[in-house]
Amino acid sequence: MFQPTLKFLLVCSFLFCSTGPTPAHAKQACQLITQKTAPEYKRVQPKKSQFRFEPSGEENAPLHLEIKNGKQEINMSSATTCFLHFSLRLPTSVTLKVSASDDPPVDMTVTASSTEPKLAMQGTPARSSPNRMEVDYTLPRADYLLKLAATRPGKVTLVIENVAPQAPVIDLAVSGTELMLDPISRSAFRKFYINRRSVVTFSLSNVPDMGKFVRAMSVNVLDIDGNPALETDSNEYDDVRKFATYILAPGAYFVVADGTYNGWPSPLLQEPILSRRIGLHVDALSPYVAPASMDALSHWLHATGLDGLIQFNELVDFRNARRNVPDAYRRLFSLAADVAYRRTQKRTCAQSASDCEVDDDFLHRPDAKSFVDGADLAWPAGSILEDRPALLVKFSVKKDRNFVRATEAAFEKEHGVSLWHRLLQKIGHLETVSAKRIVVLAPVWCDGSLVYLDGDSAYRHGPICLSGSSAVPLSLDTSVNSSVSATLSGKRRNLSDSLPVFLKQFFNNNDVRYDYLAQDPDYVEVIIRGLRGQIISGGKDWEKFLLTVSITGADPRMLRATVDGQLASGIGTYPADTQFTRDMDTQFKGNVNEYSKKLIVGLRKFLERSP
Amino acid sequence: MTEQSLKYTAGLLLIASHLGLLIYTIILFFQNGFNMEELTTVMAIITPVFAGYTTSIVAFIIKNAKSGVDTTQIVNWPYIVLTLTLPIILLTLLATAISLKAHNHVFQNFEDFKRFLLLGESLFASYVGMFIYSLFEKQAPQGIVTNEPR
Repeated sequence: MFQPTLKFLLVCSFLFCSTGPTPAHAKQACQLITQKTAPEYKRVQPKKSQFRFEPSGEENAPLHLEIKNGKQEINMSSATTCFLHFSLRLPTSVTLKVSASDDPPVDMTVTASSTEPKLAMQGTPARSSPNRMEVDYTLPRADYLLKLAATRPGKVTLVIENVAPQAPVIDLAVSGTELMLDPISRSAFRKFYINRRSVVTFSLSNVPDMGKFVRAMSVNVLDIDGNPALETDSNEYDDVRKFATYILAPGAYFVVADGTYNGWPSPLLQEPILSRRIGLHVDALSPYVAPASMDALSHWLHATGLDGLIQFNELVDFRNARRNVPDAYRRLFSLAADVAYRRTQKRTCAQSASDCEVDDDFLHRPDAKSFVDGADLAWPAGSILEDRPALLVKFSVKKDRNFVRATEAAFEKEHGVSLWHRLLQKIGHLETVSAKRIVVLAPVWCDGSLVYLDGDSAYRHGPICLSGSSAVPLSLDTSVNSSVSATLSGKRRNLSDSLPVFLKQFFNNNDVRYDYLAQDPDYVEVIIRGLRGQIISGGKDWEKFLLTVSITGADPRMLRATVDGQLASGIGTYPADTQFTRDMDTQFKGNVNEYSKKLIVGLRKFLERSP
Repeated sequence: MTEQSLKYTAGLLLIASHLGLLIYTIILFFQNGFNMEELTTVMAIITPVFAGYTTSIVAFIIKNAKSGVDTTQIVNWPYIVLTLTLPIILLTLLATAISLKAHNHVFQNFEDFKRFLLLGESLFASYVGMFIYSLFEKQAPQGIVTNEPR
C-alpha cells in the first residue's frame, strides 16, 4: 500500500532543497529587466521569517528563469557574468538564443546543477556570431544553471524558443517496452495518449536492487504540464515489483520510471542501475465510465470556471459497489471511516457535558481490512453508523496550495459559502444525497485534502506543510450562484419543522414536490420539483432546485440559503430528473440570486412571525 | 408507374417531408420542446442527410422543367414500393423521435436522443441513398467543397 505521508515528506524536503547550490563565484549583479511575474502570482516582499520560495536575484543567488517561449532582457551593467537557474519537470527540447546589444562578445553554458559532479550540457549550435549564440538543447528533467558571460558589462537579450516536452511515444495497447534510466535525471520518460477516460495500471519489471541507501524505484504518470496525475493505487514503497494505477481523462501524459536516492534523484552519474534494462508494462487498461451525474458535474465545473482548479477523477459509492472501480472500497474506505469517526467524536463531544477533545489523529481510525470483504462493506456497529458517508468523490487539483487557498478565500468572500460546501451541494443535488453524506478527496500539495461538511460549512482537512511563501496568488474567476443570508431575531426555531410549512405556503401549488435530503433542527436540504417559470420569471423551462437552508451563529443568528438549480425543456408533463441537464449558475445567476433573496426574506418573516 | 412518374413522386415526397420535418422541429422549439442549443443540434443532424438527396432531386426537376412528354419505361412494383417506403420509414422514425424527445418521453436525456437520431440515419440512409441515386443523378450540394481539382 502506498505510504502517502512518507512520500509526501520526501518530496517536500526535495522541493525545499531543490533550488540547487549557488556557485561560490557567482557574484550576481545582473537583473532580468523584462522578467514578467508568473501568470498566477504577484511578487511581494517576503517576511524575514518566511522561506523564500524563489531566488530573487540578490548577490550569490542565481536569478530564477522560467523556461517558456519568450524574450528576456538582462541588465549586466556591473558584472560580466550572470547565472540563471531553471528547473525542468519534463525532458524538454529548447532553443536558447543570446545576444548583446552593443557588441560585447557573449558566451552561454548550461550546467545540470542537480548532478555530482555538475555536468555541462552539450547542445547543437545553430548559429553563432561574435555577439550572438543560438543553441538547441535536449535536456533531461533536472535543475540547471545557465551561465551568461560577456567581456564587458552591458545589456544581453535571451530568447527562449521551441520549448517542447520530449519523450518517445508508446501505444498503451502494446504492452511492454524497455527503459534505460537517464544518468542525469535517473528517470526514463515515455509519452502516451488517452482517448477516453480509462483506468491504467503501469508496472516495472527487472527493477534492480538499488542498494542500502538508493532504495526507491517508482512508476509515475505526469500530465502534459509536468504535474503528477492523481494516483489511484500503488504498492509498497520497498517492493521490488512496482505498479501504479491511475484514472486518466482524455489527453496526453508521460509515464516515468523514477530511480530516487533517499527520496530525490540520485546525484551520482555512474551506477549499475543506469546500464540496466527495466521493463515498463501496461498491466491493465480499461475504460472508466463515470456515472451520468459525474459527467453533469464535470459540465458544471466547466461552465462555472472551476475546472481550472479541479477535475473529477473517481466516484466511490459506499452503498452500491457496482458503481465503483474494482477495489475502490479497499483503497478508500479508511478515508470515509476517518470522516465518520471524526464526526462521531464531534457529535459525542457536543452532547457530552464533560470536557471532550476531538481526536484529530488518523491513527485511531478503523482499519479498512476489518470491514471490507470482497465487494461487501460492513461498517462497524455503533454510533459511527449514523455518520458514515454515502459517497466519496475524488478530484485532481490542478493548482498549488497558494492558488487553491486564494481561490477558496475569494470564492467565500464573493458567494458567502465555501467553495467546497458549494461543491458538496452540487454533488448532493446531482446524486440526490445530502451534502452531509458526501466526502470529497482533493489532494492539494502540502495541504489538507479531505473535505466534508463539518458543522455548517465544508473545508479541507488534513496535515499541512509548515512553511511560508513569498507569493500571493491570484484566484480563479468563477461563476456560481451565491448564497444569501439574513439576520434572524426572535426565539429559536426548529428549521426541520418550520421549513416544510413555509415552503407549502410559499409555493401554494399542489404540483410542487419536496424531497428532503437532510432535516436537522438548524440545517435542511430539500430538492424541489414541479416548477416552471418560478425562478426564471416568465421562463418556459421546467425547474428543479436544491434548497439548502441553515441557521448559524448564536447572537446574532444568521439564516442562510443556497439555491442550486437545473432546467429542462419539454412539452407536456414534468420531466424526469435525467432531463435536467442545464445548470442555472451561469446564464441565470441573477434570477437565482433574486429568487434566493425573495425566498429567504419570506422565510425570515415566517420564522419571526411563528408562535 | 413510369420511371419519370416515380421520380416526381419520390422527389416531391422527400422534399416536402424534409421541409415538413424542419418546420415541425421549429414549431416544437416555439412550444419549448427544445431549447436553442438543442434545436441547432437537431437541425445539424437532420439537414445534411436530406440535403444530399434533395439537391439531386431539385437538379432533376430544374433540368426537366420543360419536358412534358413521359417516354420512360414502366418500373416494377417492388422497386416502387421500396423507393417510396424507405424514405417514409426514415422520416417517420425521425419525426417520432423528435416528437418523443420534445415531450420528454423514452429518451433519458438529449445525448441519448442525439445518438438515436444518428443511429437511425445510419441504418436507413444508405438504403434510401441507393434508391434515390438510382433514380436521380448524384449531385454535390452547392457550397460543399470537394476534393476534385477545379
